[in-house]
Amino acid sequence: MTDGRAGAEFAIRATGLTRRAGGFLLDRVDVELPTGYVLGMVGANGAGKTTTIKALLGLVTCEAGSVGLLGSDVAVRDANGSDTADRAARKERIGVVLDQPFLAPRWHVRRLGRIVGPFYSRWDQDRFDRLLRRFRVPTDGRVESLSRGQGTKLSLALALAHDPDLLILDEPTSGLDPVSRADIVDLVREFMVDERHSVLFSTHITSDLEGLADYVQILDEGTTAFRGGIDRLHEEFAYVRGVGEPDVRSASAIIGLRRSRNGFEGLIRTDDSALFGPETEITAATTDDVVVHVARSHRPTDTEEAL
Amino acid sequence: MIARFITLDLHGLLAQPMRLVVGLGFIVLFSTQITPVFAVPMAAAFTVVMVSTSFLADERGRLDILYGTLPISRTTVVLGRYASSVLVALVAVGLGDVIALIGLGLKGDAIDGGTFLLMNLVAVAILAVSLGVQLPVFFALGYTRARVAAMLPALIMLLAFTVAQSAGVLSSSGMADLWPRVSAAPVVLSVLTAAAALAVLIASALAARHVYRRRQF
Repeated sequence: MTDGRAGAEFAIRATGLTRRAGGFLLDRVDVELPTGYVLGMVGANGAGKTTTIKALLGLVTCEAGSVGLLGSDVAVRDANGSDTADRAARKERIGVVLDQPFLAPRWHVRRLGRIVGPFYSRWDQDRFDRLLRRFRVPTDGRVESLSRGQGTKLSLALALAHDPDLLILDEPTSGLDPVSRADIVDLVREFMVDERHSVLFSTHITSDLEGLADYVQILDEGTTAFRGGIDRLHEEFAYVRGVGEPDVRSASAIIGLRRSRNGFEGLIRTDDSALFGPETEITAATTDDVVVHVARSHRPTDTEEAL
Repeated sequence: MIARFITLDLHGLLAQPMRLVVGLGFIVLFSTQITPVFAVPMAAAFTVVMVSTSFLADERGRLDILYGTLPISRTTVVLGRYASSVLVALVAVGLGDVIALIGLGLKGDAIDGGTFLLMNLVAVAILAVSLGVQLPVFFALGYTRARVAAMLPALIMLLAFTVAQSAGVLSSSGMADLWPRVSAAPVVLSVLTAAAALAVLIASALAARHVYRRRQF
């Protein structure tokens, strides 16, 4: 995913992350995020986004692979739960937001700065208070009294108040109304004004990444289906719609083929465009198209049965 | 960092004032029904329950993830939780002493230093055994999956307490009979009890550190 930027400093460089848990396999997933860029990690629920993020943060054990965060490289087998001062120090420069706050429900919002702040040398209480005011998060109640959107905004304020260099967001916009989602995306944009900053933004709402992400990584059933610049994604894939039945060769080139009474549609690699005749409509694929059809390509029987 | 974690941990406990008030009321009520000095071991038992609620709060608030994202190691989390537990225990037992003294004063009973010391040693033993067993289990499995196993020592001690009470050992006269048997060397007994408690807690903390480092979140 270097796209000509090989040798740049990486905010995240993880290779071969492999983890088997229950029936789920995270299979040799690589993650690379050059410093100063936004990586959008997309995929359906259960694709492995959260597991990958937890592996990056050392919250779960991997059977193989290595994780490098902000310039440090550690084999995950050694890194999981390790107590090196270096690993703890890296977290000082990382802000994390998950889909739900990880705060005690009974904690008072106004006291959170005093609870969490002392752990960070760069904690800025004024910035924390400003962010809460900007997001209109009520500070006179307990965490449990906040709505889902307010809880996410509170988490974001906590994640940003210690001036991190790397922001890791796991489904921060999930379940939020459009205004709250826009607030969060705007704040990420502002964060990225500083070129030392980097963001890993995991979501299944791909529209959140429009105009924001420089790179995209599509996960599907624990494997990487695509990883590269978001421009390359749009160059590499196209969307086809045709009438009737595609011939065998064309059909085999369609990723996540959908048949209907009127014809067929699906995703193709742009290199395969020549397989389709002029009667077939070929348009640019959106990120959503790629995510949906890559996921569907793994379960063609289900799709056909549904039709 | 451990001091900061203790502060964070105590915030969790102090965020539940009703639980503290109910616990305190229970100690007062229970000790006045038998004999006021029992407020001391009762306070120890109360501590065991309070400490378990920290793990309940971890689970409800997904605080293990918070600890995993803070710039602290998992060892800091374990040592911090042990330290805050011991701190809560010291305050609770101190409170138990005060309640016992007030209770004795209100009843007009004489204050027997030997019995007081014995009750404090019993409290230390209860704390060491209960916390020593329950903390590693909680660290390994979390509150929901571990609560029954972790509470086993406390339940066994409660059973022993009930049996002893039925046998009359825990009556005022029974206590008076018991004390001379252990009062020959109070300093040695105190030091031995404290040393044993410390050894149990250190071994327990090492075990907890070992299992918590492998915990998946």
